[in-house]
Amino acid sequence: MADSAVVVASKEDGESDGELVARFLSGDRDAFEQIVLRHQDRVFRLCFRILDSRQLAEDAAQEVFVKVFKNLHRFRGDSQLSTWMYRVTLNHCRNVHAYRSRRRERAHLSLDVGDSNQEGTRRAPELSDPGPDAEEGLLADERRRLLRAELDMLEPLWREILILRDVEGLSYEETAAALNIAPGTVKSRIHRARSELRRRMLRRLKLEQDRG
Amino acid sequence: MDEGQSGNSRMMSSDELREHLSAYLDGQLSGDLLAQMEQRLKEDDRLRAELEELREMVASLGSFPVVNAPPGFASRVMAGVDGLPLPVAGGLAEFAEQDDSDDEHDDEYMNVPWWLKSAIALSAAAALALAIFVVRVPLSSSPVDFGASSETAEVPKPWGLPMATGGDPPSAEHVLADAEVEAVESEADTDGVVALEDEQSSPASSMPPADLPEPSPPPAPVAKAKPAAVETRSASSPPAARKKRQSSGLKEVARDREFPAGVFQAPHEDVPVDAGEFAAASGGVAGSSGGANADGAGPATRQAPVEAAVAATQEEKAVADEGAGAEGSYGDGVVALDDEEPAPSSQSVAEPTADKAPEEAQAGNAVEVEAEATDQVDDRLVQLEDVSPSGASIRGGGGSGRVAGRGSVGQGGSARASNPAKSSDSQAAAEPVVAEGSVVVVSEERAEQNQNAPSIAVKLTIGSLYLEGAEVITSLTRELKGKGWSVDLLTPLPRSEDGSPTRSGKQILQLVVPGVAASDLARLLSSYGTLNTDRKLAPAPDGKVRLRLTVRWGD
Repeated sequence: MADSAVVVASKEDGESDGELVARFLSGDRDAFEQIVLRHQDRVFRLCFRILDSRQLAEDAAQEVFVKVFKNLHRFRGDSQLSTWMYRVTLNHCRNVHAYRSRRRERAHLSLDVGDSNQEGTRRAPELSDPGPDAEEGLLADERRRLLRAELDMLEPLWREILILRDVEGLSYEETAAALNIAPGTVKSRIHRARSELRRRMLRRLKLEQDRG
Repeated sequence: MDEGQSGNSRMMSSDELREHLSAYLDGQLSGDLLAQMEQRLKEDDRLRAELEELREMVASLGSFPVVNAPPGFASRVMAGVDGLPLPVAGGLAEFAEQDDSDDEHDDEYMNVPWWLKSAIALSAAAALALAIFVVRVPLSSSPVDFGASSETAEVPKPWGLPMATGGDPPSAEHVLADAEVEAVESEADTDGVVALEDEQSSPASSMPPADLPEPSPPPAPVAKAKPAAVETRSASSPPAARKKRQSSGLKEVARDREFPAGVFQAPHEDVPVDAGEFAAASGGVAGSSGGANADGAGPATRQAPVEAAVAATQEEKAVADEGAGAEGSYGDGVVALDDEEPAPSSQSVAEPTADKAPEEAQAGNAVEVEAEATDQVDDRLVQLEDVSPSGASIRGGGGSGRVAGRGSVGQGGSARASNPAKSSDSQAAAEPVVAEGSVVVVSEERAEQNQNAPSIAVKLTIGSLYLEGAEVITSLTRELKGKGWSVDLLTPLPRSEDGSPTRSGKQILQLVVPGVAASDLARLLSSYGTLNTDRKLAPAPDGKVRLRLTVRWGD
């Protein structure tokens, strides 16, 4: 998946998330900075996936960390810190998303492909490494663009689970924990979400073909 | 997690197997189901093609460019939290759940510890019990002896219905028919929405400093209590009226802006009433508990304090009142009285205010309620009358019922819920009118006279929405509110011990949307889950669509 490094950071500097949390709660602000550094990418990325805007994502991610700072004492360690932060991030992004929808301020699709050269991003391997067939690569890019557009138009219920599971690469268990649903629900919901996205994609591709 | 280990050897069709394609793609199948899937994939080209499409789509999703936080992000975060105090473990944990720590979360203000909720509920119930007075209205057209003293006291019932303890037979004006009472009782704990609200009953002083992320928290949690109202009944009704009690049904009128208030209200709603004022009002009422009408100041609040939700005893029951066609009616079987004018102090409410009645009438008209001066204003009785085209009229009586009103209705004047276009002021003026501080009860005397006459029920649509999980409710309510629609949370979001929403449960919402948005509402709700309504969403005469929605999820 896009982010195979999501779950590797828990002890990258030799200190587990739990230890960092404990240190932070004992009054060590530096521990929180370590937590931020460790989780900033996944939080920012999830914000970006949902909000579809780099600027909004950065603002939202900062707000998420402020909330984490204020509420880290509520983290009981029942789940991974990353999962807990996913939940906080999802909740916050839902609010932001709803707020934007309310004001119809939602920007047009800022496609990943178009943004991939900007600061703070890195290209996916298949984009940075031109394939043997450039035309195929373009088609793949176009397909991804359409897919991103359709994903963004899905209902939040479907969009979120696809982002967590298929885009971010979380396991079923992690997805369930992040969404606070039963693992069995993940299975049924992911199928419905994929089916819906597939249906939309087929319709979109047909429209594109009719135009072209 | 794996599927297919149940030992079920039944051969599944391709359509059935198709439902498991995603699980197969993710390696979640095993056993017989896996074997069947693989076998069928070899045989069914269409299923195989579908699997490939899914596989390709999932691969594309996984190949979205990786986006990382911009440089300096952590520094900015640390600068942002620089001035914040370090949280203390266990400090505020009990006030919110960990995953709903979100500032703007609507449910945040529901995250109140159980003991505080209980305290709030108890205090609100006690205050309400003392504050609610139900006054009889004669069912006959004969003059009423408003000066009589009270003679019986009511024993609180869980649903707020009075139960006479004196020697008098139960009054139909005060007590619903037994069957109806049972219906209310049976429903009150489920979808019924008999609830009381007193936003001031959660005094800020009792709340610890809210160091929650929410910078502008919504109104404090409201005490949810079954309206254990103690009604002190006046013995003012003439004997002739009492004879009718056994057969007379009741309609209650809750004073509200839009519809019967719920336990929880959207943050945009009422301005909290001064707690001291409410306390004073409650005290005044308590002091007069022996004579409900003597100085039953009633809640001196207009916006929220003793707000009574009208129970939708049964969704079908509520619908039974539909077709009333009586404009100005709100809620299921309930006429809600609007109250735009600031309430005078509790003291002033207690005073006879005949001269103020016209003002009240003007204020009430905003929601098709008129207040009129009558000669009986001293008795602070309010009669609500619906003059429907058919002439059906529902008149205020002392009463019980599923509703305890709120606000200082009438305040010495009289109020009429009427069809503005067809109301008859002269007729209404001739009717005995009863006003009570927080409760307005309307009997169905005229409905008795004309069984075919429509009631004053409102076009309240009852619906249910089935979701997969509770987590969707938040986004749903936000989206609804985002459209500028009124969303009242009539029941709190059920939560498990750790504060997270329960895996299964229900929450009752009440929605009010403009009539033109009815289809939008239906479409939006249907996008979240399976929507069922007892009838088509249609606007009431006031142009608004009201939907009481029971949202369920889980098993």
